[in-house]
Amino acid sequence: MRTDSILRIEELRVEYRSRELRQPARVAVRGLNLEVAAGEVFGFLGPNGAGKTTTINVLLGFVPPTSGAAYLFGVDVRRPIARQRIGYLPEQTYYYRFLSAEELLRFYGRLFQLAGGELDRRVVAALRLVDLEPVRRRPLRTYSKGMLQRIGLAQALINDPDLLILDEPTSGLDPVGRMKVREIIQRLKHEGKTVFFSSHELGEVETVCDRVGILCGGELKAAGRVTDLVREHQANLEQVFLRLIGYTPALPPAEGGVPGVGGAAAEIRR
Amino acid sequence: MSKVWALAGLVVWELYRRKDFYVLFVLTALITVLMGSAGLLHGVRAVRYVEELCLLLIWISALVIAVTTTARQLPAEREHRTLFPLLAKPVTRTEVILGKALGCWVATGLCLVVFYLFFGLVSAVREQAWPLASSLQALWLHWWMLAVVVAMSLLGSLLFATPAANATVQFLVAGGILLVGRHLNTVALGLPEPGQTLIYGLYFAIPHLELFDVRDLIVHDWAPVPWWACAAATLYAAAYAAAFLVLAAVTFRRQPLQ
Amino acid sequence: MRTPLLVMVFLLTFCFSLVTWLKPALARHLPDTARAESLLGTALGDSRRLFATHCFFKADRYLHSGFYPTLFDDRTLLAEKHLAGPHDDHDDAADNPAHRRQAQPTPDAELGYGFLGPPRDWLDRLGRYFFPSRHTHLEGKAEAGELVPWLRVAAALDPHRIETYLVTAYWLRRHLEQPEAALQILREGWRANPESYEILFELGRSFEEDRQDPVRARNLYELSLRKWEKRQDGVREADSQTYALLVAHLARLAEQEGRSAEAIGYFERLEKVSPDPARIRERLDELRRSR
Repeated sequence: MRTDSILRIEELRVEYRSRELRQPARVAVRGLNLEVAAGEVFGFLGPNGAGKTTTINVLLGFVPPTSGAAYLFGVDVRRPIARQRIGYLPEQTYYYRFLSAEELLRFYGRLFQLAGGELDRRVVAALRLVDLEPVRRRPLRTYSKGMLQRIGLAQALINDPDLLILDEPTSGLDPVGRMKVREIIQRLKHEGKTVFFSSHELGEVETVCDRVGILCGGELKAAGRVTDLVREHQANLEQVFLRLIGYTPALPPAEGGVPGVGGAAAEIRR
Repeated sequence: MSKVWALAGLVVWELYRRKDFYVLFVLTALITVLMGSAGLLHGVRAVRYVEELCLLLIWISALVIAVTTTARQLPAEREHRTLFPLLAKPVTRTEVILGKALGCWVATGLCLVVFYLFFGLVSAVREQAWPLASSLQALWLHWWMLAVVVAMSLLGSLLFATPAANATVQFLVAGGILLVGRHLNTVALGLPEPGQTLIYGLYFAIPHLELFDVRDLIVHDWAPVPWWACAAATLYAAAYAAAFLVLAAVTFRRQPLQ
Repeated sequence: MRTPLLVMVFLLTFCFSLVTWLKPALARHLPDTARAESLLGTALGDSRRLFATHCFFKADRYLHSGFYPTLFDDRTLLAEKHLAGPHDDHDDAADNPAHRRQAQPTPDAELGYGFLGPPRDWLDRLGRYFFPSRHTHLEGKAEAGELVPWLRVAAALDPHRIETYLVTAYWLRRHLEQPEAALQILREGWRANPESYEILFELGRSFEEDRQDPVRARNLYELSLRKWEKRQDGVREADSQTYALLVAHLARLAEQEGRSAEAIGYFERLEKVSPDPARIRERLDELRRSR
């Protein structure tokens, strides 16, 4: 066990009980072990339904583990104090639409017991970081999706967290929005923050992450440095990912197939 | 406690930004002014019917504001998924319940102050007098009555499927208690066993919201309630509000978020 | 999809037919169904009577400064004694049309806790500090005016409730010194209830006492008497008090105008219904002697 690990998951198992008595419980995560060290950017990959969001929900205390445990900064995630030094950006950003960006950040700041000049300073800094200072007084209901995603990042940073948990932070954004979010993550990495984020964007993960974990059917299929994984499997990250999750591409409709499709499938099979 | 106040501030801010209160206040003012100037009187001077009408509208409006504001708090947080970023902060579910309850209570209290200022204005204009002690006492008791309603509605919002269902049940319960709560003991005494014990038990179990209704004392120029009785009623309301909030906190902690 | 639609159409047709069949039948059985002249009246329908009754009792509640029994309380103590009139002004109470059917006044001491009875438990005891729980009455001209709005609304909601006009006129005449307003109310009542002998009698009294117009008063009393006589036996027996008052007023007017034979005729009728026939007999003897 690494001593400097900020996030630690041990033998985590999460089951969702069915409301119908005869239906068996659905296992969302089974026997997950994971560690993220301080200053690392960790990419949590997996297809839809792999258990990524469930794992994040356990880390945030939303879902209790069926068995096993998870720790943030060495504190059990079931204790609210474990969330004192983290920032969280949900997959889809939903905030109080009657508030402005500044009011929202002030509200979240007060939940971290920030007040007075310190709160003012943090609000201004967070707004500057996400380039929303000029529109700080506009109600959130007038914001575009990209702006909302950025205010989401700002709220996640209001307490100057040591660990950022981002659930698909670029989902649904246009290329410019995606680029901005990526830049912000890079800046945080340079500031020495630990970032744990789930994503479908393999290119983005490849660019930003130090390490990745690939989850499928609630089980961790692989974890390690991107370069190590690529070297080990003799393929790029996308191919490694598809191979690990057991994806078998459909055969081309006819010999030769549609130009390009058959070639890609053949490449993956190889 | 600062987290609870932060959560409460958000509820007050929400009510300030929404239209509910303004609509109800304008309606109350409009109906009171219209009824006050209606030609019913053949030159006879009458004040009390306007005061009674004004207070009735204030009671209805305050109940509507308290129930609808509280009933939508937690369901809206779930529906808009704002609950997730909120609970990702170092905030316990009990603090969320307390913050929401405090916010709704303070917000309805602020509305009450505006309403009772209007009532004072109506009394001053028509009666050339303002029974300050009675009005303050009425405001205080009314506010504590709403503390119980807010706590009940918050608990209801965790038990009922939709805010509309919760609000309907809360209106029925509060209305029922206000109308017949005081008489349940009389009804019980006229019943054979086991009905008598059951109804008498219910009489002691329900929060007697009608205790806080001193409208008749104000309208008919009675002296204020003795202060010890006022304090006893306050304690009574605080105890019921606390009990409902504890139940709400326990329920919320046991509920899955998804 | 088609079957529920057909069922709906059938049910709607059935309901419509039933209403067209029932409505005239209902109108035949309830000839005095509250007729609405306003949109609000139409919307409220026959429930207007309920609201009118509520407003009428509200006026009585105001008379007692909010101390009033609810459905759950023992109403007999208060209702026998206090229906919209002062209880301690005995002369007035006798005059107040609303008091004519009332029993002898009960002294306050007999009421004790009033209709509330003694407190049954600690909650009941505490609760009594928060609503009017002592028997009292409005006093003075200014306060008496507080009753009028509710009575006016009651009359507007149910124009066929005769008691409302009588009580309103009583308060306007006796306590608020507004005889012209009382006259106006009574005229409104008469227009809505042309067969009401009670309203005609009150109108007569207004003309006699306030306008000092004995001729019009006599005409109104006589018309009232004719209307009373036209009533069915049951109703007449139930309201022999109004008859006695009518005949007494007619007798007194006839006596004042020097029409002794007519006065004797009325006194003879009064003797049969008066609770104190000996006194009437004495009066008759005097009249006969003076002729």
